Amino acid sequence: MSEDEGVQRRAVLKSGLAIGGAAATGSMPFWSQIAMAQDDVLIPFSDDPEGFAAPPKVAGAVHYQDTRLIDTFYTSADNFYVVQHYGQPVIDPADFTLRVTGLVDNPLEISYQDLTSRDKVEIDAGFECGGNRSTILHGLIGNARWGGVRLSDLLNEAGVQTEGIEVVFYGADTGIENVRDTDVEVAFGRSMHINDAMLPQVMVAWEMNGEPLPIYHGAPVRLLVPGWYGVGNVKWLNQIHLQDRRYMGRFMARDYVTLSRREIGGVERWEERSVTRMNLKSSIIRVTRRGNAHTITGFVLNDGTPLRNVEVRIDDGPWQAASIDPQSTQFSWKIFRYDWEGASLGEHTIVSRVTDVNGQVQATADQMPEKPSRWENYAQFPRKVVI
Amino acid sequence: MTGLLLFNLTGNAAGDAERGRALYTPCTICHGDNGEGMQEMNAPSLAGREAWYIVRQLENFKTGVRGSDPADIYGLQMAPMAQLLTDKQAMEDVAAYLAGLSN
Repeated sequence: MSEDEGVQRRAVLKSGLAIGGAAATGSMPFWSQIAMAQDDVLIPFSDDPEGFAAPPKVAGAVHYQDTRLIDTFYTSADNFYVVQHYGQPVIDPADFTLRVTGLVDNPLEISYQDLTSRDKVEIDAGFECGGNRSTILHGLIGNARWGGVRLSDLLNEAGVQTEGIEVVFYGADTGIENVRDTDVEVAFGRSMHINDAMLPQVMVAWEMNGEPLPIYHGAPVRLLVPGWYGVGNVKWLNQIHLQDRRYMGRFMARDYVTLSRREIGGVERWEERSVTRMNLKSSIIRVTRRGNAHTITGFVLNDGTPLRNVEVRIDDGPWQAASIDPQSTQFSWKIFRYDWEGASLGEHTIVSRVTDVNGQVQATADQMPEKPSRWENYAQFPRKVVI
Repeated sequence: MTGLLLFNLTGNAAGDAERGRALYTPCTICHGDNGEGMQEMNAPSLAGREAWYIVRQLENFKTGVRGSDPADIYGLQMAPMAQLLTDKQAMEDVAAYLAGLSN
């Protein structure tokens, strides 16, 4: 589904149904198959970290969810992962101003009331932290419906000048950094090329799942860049600045930089690359039993490139197609289900892989580029389970 | 006798490292899978630290001795995480696990 179709469909949904009105989308059968019903038995993975559990949600803290328990298309605000680097600033919407500055014809100062009185668009988008990883069962993840305005509308209103090719997003969260032996107070910041910023799915958002953003998700206003890792989705957004050269802030150019050895135009090189678009990734999250039937459930995330399929393999068997939740949209997560027929007693290794329409296949751990940095962990994730 | 008393007071003997390994999982987000620390999260290395020191800092965070100054944004992030370790035993278990990691 294209993003425009997605927005259109949701506009219809919005008129008559509350969030979570999944029945109207025809995906209820899908979720009734995978959501944990009373008689379902969760089969524990035998390679789960011993005693693994997601921590309770605590104000001000980082948070991840227990992916084994995902049972709704939309992640609640409390369960959606939370990471921040300079604390969680509390901003009164009455005092809030969003500034659009720099290489624009008409610099803007937009109040919260002004911003939120504009026509709202909504999009379903899921994303993960750039540092998400298998040791926490990929729990730094979530999927939500976001409401706001298209960034391109604000940029067009401001009139971006030809030289304005770099769009920098500053948050209200600040911290002391030691840069070149000097302590300086800096705001969290990220940037992107104007071509990325003008994509229709990129939003300045003030709603999450139909409610005003909670503080820990960036209230009152955050950037939403569907298809990108979480770090690009600047929370507590208060300034958008157009400039003619690359922004080199810490979380763009020094941290959240993936160091890997890969082919660069046919030449093998070490490359330092800012964490931006999500890689093609899937992971099994659980196995359940209902009566004698076993179901394998998992998720897919990527940068929005349409998918060809998601497949599951049991032990050394053939790759077999899984079904994707029909409620999925281009930038949402895609929950998938595989009906495991005739699961035999004993221990099995199960794994998923996703392939996009370009034929790109999710890498195995062995196929991953040599990558000393901790970011961008998207390898196939085999799990062990005893039936 | 004095040595033994000190030993008990500082908690070295009381921690269960295996239990501490599981309790440490939420801490990995910032302090790394092997306690190596993570500069991006302003989280120091904890691997190989003395257990008594870890326990004392956890208690300081839990009681607000550390992490309560609004200017201390990194401490403010740690304070609620310390609350995840609900009792002294949990702190000692995590500390025992960290003390056994190589730095």
